[in-house]
Amino acid sequence: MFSKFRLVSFSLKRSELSYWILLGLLLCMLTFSFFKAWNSYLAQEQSALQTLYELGVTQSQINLELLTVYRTPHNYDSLAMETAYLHQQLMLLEQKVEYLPLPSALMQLFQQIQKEAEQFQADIEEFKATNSILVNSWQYLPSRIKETVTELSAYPDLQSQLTRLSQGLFAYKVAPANRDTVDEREQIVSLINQIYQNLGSISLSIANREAIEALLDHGIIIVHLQHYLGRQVLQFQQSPLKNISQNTEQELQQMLFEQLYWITRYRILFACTALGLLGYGGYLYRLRYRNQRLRAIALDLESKVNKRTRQLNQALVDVKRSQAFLVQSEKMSSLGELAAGISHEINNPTSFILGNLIHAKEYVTTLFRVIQLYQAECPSPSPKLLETIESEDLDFIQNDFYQLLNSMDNGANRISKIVQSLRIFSRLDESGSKIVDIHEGLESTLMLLQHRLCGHPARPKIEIYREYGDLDQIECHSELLNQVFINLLNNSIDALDNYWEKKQGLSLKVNGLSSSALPVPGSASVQPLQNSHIVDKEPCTLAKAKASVSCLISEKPDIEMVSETDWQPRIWIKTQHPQPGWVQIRIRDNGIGISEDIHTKVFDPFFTTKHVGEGTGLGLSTSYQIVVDQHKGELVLKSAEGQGCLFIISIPCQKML
Amino acid sequence: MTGGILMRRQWYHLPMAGLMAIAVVGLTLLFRPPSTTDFAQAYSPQNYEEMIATVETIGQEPIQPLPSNIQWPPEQVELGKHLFNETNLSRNQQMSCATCHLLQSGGDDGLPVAIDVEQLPMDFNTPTVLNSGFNFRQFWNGRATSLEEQMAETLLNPREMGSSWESALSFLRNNRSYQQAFQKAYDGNISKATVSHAIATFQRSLITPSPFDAYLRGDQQAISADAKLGYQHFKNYGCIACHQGVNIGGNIFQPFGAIRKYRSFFGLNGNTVTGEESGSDGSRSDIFQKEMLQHGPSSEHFKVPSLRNVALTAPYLHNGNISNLQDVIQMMASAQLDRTIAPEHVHQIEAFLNSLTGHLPGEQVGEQDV
Repeated sequence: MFSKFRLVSFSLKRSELSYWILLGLLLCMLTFSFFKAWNSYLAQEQSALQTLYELGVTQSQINLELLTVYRTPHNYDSLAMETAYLHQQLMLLEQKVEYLPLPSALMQLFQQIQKEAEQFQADIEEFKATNSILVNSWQYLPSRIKETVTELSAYPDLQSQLTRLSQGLFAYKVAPANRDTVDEREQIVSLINQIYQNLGSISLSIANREAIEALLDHGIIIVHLQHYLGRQVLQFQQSPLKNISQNTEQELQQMLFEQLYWITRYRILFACTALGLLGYGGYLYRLRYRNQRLRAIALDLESKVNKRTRQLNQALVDVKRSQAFLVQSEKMSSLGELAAGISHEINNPTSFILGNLIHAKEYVTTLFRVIQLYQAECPSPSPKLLETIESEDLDFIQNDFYQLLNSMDNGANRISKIVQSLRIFSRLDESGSKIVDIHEGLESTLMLLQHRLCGHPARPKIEIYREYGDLDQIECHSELLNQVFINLLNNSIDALDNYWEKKQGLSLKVNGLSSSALPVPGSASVQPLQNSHIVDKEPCTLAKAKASVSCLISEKPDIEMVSETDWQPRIWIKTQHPQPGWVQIRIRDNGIGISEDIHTKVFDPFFTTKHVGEGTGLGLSTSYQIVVDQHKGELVLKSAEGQGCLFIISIPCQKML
Repeated sequence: MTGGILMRRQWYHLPMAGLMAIAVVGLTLLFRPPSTTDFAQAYSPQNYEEMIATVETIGQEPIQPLPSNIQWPPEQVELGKHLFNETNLSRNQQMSCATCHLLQSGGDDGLPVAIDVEQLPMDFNTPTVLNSGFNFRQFWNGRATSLEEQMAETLLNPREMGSSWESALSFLRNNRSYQQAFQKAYDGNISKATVSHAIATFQRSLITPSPFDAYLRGDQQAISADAKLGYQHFKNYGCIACHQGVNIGGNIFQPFGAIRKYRSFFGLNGNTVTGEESGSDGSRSDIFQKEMLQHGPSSEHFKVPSLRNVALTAPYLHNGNISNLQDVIQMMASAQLDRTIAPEHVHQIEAFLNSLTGHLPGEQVGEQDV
């Protein structure tokens, strides 16, 4: 599962760039289509188109109104209203078009519309005014001519001229507006001119003259305006304004259509892009959600694995430690039993020897006194006896025999002490925690290690500096603590051996730093036997050591200050109460030391720097378990390579009274 | 275990949220429904064409009665009335619209020509403000196409109110009661548009239904027999050719001396008649050019004035030359129709014109001539 997640995570990371590219692309498309689809002028253009359309409608309406009022008495309100509409729409159109970004052709069309519209309005006003006059003349003229003709009965010439004028005008009136009426007009005009000339030659009353002049005025108006207005009406029907506004409408419509065509497509594009973006966003969110869940699962798994690994490591350490402890304690218990058995068995013969030696001395004294007495009583022994006495050197025997017995006494005493030490060390006769004297345990341990402390050809004797404080008796498992002492002291001795060998350049035996708990049986058991015959020369008895060291107790020579040439193998043992309720035993040597790289490992079970078969790797780990686990104390190592090492054992104690 | 885009919380949320927002907003904007103009407004005519649209056509008469069913927002009319009487809008703070347009005496000042701020005579007789909403253009020469335009020009004309928009608006904006009135009528918007609209709305509301309107609507007893005969003469003599429509004029231009003017085209005053048609050479008649419509007065062409309340608006004509109704009937007949009207006809026509005198709704307009 974990590996699966890592695969997913990897693929996501690799495709990060493509995510960004796709998002950027979508955004670009979105922006592009938005600005393409967004035409803020569209509504205004549509509205302008609408106005143009309404303008056309209004024009048609105006034309209709023009036809209605042409030559008929009518009111002009509707026409004025439509004209006002036209004006209104033109102003609206001007406003709407003013700020539109239109092509110049369209712009010109709009300007033309405005120009033509001004003319159109002026024409309409003119039409209205002249049409009123024409209508008035038509209304007035027929009845008026009739009246005048009847009044002018005295002037038949004038009468007939006026009658012809009336007929001519009537014919002219009913003629269609689009017919070419030049001839008729010319006839009427010449008739009017004739009447004018007649008026000049005839004497008439002022009223009649004015009446005739007025008639002629109306005649002129009809001739002048009728055809003109008719043509005007026709022109209105095909006014350039109409054409131009229609053209403009078409152009604008075309433009709008094209704009709409594209805008619609861009809107669709925008909508698609937006939807795509939304979908893609949703997809990304889903991916991200899944990814987060995966990551959470992975993290959970990882922590679980770590936890399990820690637990397993701890269990492994525990198992190794208990295994080591088991091995060690089994070994020690069998060793202790052996030692106890041996000491018990040896104790009796030794006491026989010690007890019998007293009698042996008495008997020997008695024997020698008997011999001396025998020599005195019998001064001349037989030559054969004399010869034997001479050859056997009886005097020497007599002297040496006492020495021999003394020596045997010493040896037997040492045996008895060793046995006693063994018993103290193993404490097999006692079990559980006891109130003990730490110093006693230390001394018995040193006693057991005596054979290793002694000098031998390969190395000078190791000096022991004791710095015993005023310790209270504490409650502890003394046999276990003794094991710790013997392990640590063995290590120190090994370190000193190595250092000496290194200094002497000897390659007899290259021992690394030892963490083995026990002296290697092969080498440990042989050496004391080799030295046993020089027993009485042995300088390092316990008593002697005590005496020789006592002056050095307070001294703590600094390891660094000892020069290479003056170097002697030394071990310092110090006991104290560092604080109330605690006992501290510091064992220190000036041996080869332990490099700092392996400080953390030295207490691990089965860790050893010695060759295969030489160390078990159990010594320090067992010591650690005894001190830390069983006595709830502390075991601290302080060392550096080439500078010796210091083990500090701290044990809590109840103060015994 | 470091994640990419999908892992970095802060870099992921911001652009994604932004993009989503843009997408949603863009979709909303682009696919919003088309805006619809609000057609559901209460109907109140805003200009001439809408005023005319309210006229109910009755019968075939060239004159139509005034509409009776127009409703304007009362707040706007009330505000316009105050503004109409507000002397503080003028430069010397002594002149208002009402100074020259006295509503109680026919909507004009009763003088031959208007008097300017310095008490000097101006060029034209003051037109009446009554029923001015039915005039297709304003001023004698029709240069203003709406009452709003006319009002603005009068406000700014140094010989009339001589004010400026800045001072007028600042006065209104600093006046508490006007603030309240504008709040009610225009949501507190005090601008050129609202001020002129208020005054114009008030003017459009000045409609004076007359007995003749009642007659047109079918009430035969509304006017006297003389007035009825006068109406017939009015039509027969041709007055109706120009004075028609709902406002009995006010929707057409005419040159002064309409009939006789055409003699000159034929050179009848001593020249030979040519018979040449006006505009036949392709050039249009120059008499109604844009310049005349939009700018400066022409000595020849005038908007045909409304004849409503004509009995109250003496003296007459653009220069106030004639102070008597009968005289002006005669004068117009001879000048525009090229004929004389018999005295009894004049009398009857006068009766007809008197029947055009109306009154403002709710107010009694003074009956006496000034």
